[in-house]
Amino acid sequence: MEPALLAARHNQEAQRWRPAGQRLRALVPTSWHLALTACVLAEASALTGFLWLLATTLAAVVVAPHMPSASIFIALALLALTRAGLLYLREKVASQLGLRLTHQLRQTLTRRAMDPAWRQRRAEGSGQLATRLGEQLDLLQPYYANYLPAVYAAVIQPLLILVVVFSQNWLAGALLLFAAPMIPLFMAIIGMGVATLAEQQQQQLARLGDHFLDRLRALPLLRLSGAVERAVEEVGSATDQWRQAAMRVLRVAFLSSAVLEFFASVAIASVAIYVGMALLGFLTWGPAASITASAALVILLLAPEYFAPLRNLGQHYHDRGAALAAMADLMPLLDDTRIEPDIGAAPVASRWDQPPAVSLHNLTLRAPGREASPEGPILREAIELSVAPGEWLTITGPSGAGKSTLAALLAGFRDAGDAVQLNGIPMRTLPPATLRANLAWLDQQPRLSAGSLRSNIAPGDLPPGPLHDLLSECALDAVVAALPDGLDTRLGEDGAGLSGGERQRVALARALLPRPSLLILDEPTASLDDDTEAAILRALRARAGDTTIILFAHSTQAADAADRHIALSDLGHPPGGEP
Amino acid sequence: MTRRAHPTDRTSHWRFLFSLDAGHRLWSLAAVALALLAAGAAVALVASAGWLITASALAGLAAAAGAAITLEIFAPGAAIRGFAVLRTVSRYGERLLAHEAIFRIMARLRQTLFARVAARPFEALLAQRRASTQTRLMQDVQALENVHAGLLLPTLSAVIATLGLALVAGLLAGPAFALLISLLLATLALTCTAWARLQRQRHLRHALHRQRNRRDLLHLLDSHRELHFADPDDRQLQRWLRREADDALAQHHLHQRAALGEALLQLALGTTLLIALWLASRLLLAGHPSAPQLALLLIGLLALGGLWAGLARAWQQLPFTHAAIRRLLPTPDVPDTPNAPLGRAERSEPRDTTWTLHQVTLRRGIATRPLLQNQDLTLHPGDVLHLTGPSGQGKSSIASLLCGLLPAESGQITFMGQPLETLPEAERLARIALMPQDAPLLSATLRDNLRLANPQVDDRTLCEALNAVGLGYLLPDTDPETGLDTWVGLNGRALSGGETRRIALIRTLLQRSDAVILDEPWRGLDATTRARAAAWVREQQHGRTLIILDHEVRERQEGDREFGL
Repeated sequence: MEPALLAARHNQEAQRWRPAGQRLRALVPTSWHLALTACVLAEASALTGFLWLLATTLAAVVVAPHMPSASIFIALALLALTRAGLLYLREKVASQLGLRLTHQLRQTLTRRAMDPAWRQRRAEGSGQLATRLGEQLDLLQPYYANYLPAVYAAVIQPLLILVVVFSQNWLAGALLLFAAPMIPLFMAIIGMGVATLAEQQQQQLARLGDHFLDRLRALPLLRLSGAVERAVEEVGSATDQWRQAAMRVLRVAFLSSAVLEFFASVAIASVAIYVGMALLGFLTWGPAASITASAALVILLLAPEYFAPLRNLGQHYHDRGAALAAMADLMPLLDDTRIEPDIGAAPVASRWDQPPAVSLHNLTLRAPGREASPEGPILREAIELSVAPGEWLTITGPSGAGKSTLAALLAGFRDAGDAVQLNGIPMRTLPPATLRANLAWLDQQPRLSAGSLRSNIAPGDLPPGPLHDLLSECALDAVVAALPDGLDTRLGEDGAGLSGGERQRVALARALLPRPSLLILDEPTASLDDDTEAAILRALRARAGDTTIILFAHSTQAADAADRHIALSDLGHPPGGEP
Repeated sequence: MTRRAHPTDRTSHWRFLFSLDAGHRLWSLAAVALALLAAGAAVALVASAGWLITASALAGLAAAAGAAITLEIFAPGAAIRGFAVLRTVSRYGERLLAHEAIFRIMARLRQTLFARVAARPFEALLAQRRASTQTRLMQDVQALENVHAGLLLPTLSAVIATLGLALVAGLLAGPAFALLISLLLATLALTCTAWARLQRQRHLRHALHRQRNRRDLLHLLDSHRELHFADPDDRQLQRWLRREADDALAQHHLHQRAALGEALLQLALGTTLLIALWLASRLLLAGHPSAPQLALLLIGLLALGGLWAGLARAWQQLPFTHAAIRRLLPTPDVPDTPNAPLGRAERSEPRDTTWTLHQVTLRRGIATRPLLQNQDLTLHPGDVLHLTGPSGQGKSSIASLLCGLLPAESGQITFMGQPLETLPEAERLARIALMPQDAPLLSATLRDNLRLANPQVDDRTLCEALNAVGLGYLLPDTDPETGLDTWVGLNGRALSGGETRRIALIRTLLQRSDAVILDEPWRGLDATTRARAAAWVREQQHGRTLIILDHEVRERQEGDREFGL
């Protein structure tokens, strides 16, 4: 987000950003706080020491020309080396902190995002989620690596320098001390003005800023409407207008850094002139009489370093805003902690030796809602269904009537209370690991990775035996034979290199490999040609008997191939209606 | 696998970067001038203060020993104050001018990029809509936009300020000092560029890995349901997490190397200071007349550190800039679409707009069910055809086929008496108005959205159209035409799917075309609204051929034809 837009959002978002800021700070362990403080303190000390020694040596040389002793040069060299080394160390510590925290958050959130129940609650597309876990989390890293050390430096270094300057000449110290609070005060005043100004511009800034991406997204439509030439011109003019609006804000925003420069430069100039006058003997009151050349040079060399951390902080202030915005967005994800316990803690899953009987008792089917209200309107009520062990049931119905929702309930992706039972036991009470080991799922979209065919069919542990039987079951023999490296052929991104029908058969093989006892399929053959559909139905027929199969489809072949078929409209009754 | 970049590649990239501010070079030059002024003022402020203090110290000591004070302090004092103000003002001006220059560069860059992307083949445009592509595009654009202010300008000011100091050193203290500072300049410049060059491969490799990890993450998240059962021990997740940890570690190493570069810069400056101190002492011992001048040089040298800070890190970003340029601009040997339709083709005299399909076979992908098999179809001007089939079966592909946006597997389509593919795309799309299934809303006024395909439509027609399709409530009762100024889409009033579709419907029908194809226009509409909208469509038909794609035949009229998939 650009600085202008960030400034514009600041007033509105302050409410949201405060808890985000607290969370960002809370994530840092105390030991890291201490380590960072120590690094910054050491670096500031090395810098101060170096400058102090340089100033005193230079003063001595100027007053009475001589060659400084070798030990002084060695001491200076050591101090310079130490300072460079500490700079390196501080960067290392800060960067490690940032990366570690970001990595931990990414780990936690990705684990949660792989849990179907959590995903069902969040109702967010995987593309957007991937952006959140990727780019948005990345925005937190500069906060820790750049902004946080800058804050520490802005507190510690000026204090240290102030102490040293006071020890040399208290009036000069007082001058610096006076300049210090002036700067944040003026910057805050200007900042408030900027925020108000930016707020007025906010809508325009947002619209113009998003214009480029918006038109880029709409390019197919623009081509169809013959509006491309106009759009090209508009992109240029929108960016120009954005420039004008942004400059209106930035003109004032830059004043705050100008204030910093002004006070810093004027302070240095005043200190220099004061010290010069004192050395000449034009000033005699206060500590002026006792000033020496070396003290004067020390003060001069340290004065710019007094203001430098504040300038540095200003440069990294933008990182703070971006991180706050990102964290505010991520906090709802972080706070939703209701998932199953970590796999490490799970007991060894037990495999069922018999396919289960599936029964539904008084199930209420609700449509999935948006993120604000995860439950939508009721589609059907009082659903009763019994599937015998090893039976193949096909449920038919038009799209949008609730087939996918029912499939999700049967697979345990959504909580159905006690309504869904396996062998008479509510699904909810069965150990999650057992369910994972014994169920399988297939839907209309076969999602394959870019890895080898083998790794797609067996994403978990490699099976002890060969895959031949499975491949012929799923009519994949010919496919594998036609591939250059057989099973080890790498598929392209999204399983390219295979046709739609072939990809679905691979997905079926993946689902059937662990020999599941219960198979839930959500319209797996909807966009396939007749031959592929027949092959898949044949594979299912071979498994029926050992596996309870519940297939959702709308084709007559799928209905005929099953042991039993029932229409969704025959299950339960619409809300409030008569059965 | 990282491609070894051609040296000519990089020179052309630099040329491109420098060409970005053509047309408003004045702003860039002004920004450079102010940057130099600010840098110079910063060094001069501290250096002259050093001169003043040293001179005052010596004069004070001499006065204490009895000599008269001949030091003129007021002019130097004024100069110091002058430098202080100059520094503030020129720094403010530099930031303003730099941003003015950058924003102008941005406008030009975005316009150029947009035009290039818009000229790509239609299928490439559809691929553009993937979120990951857009994110990368914006990152690349921002990387380019940052090069001038983040890298080129600060480097230039630092280099020229150092040269300036070397010159002054030569004048005040002789060739040895000037040589020292020039050597420093060479070391600093070398450290920045050579260090960056050393890390290049690592940076690019890391960027590649990170991209792959993000892609894998998307795949994991996409297939989480299947993997929930097919991978009960979460092996895929574990593997991804391990790769992610490696990626984080690699990034940490890159940061550390950047920090090392910075530390080296500081070390170079520190070493030079020590040598300068030694040199100054030698010169004073050898009888150099002015100690304050030497103090000025030394303190000026110290101030240079502030100008060079952060440059090592900035130069490390250069490989990404080159990569961004390479991605954003196509290589010269890949031609853009020959029929790059940037403008609305002028419609020549309306001709006989008979549409014929002759033995056309169309498949969506290999080995999927063919949508059309050796199909013959003739549409006479003014015909209304209802094309029906279940969702997701490929009706939209047939719409694309009829517009010539999708090639048939076999057979031929003729429109207006000639094969469809011989008509230039611009003319095809001008004569055949297509309402796609997912027409987005532009972030613009309602009026601009409605007039997209036909900018000449007047407000009254637009208001009538909105009322006819049941969207009259979007307009205020008094003076409805002001309602057309409402901003809709992103950053404006959000409209529902049904509302968006009706706006697309109006947009399509108001286009002055010879034929109209509507892809699922009634989705999300209740029966009454649908009837009204259908009536309006017939009203606006004006004798054009009309094709409606839908699940089932709705709003049928006498004489309509039907075709089921």
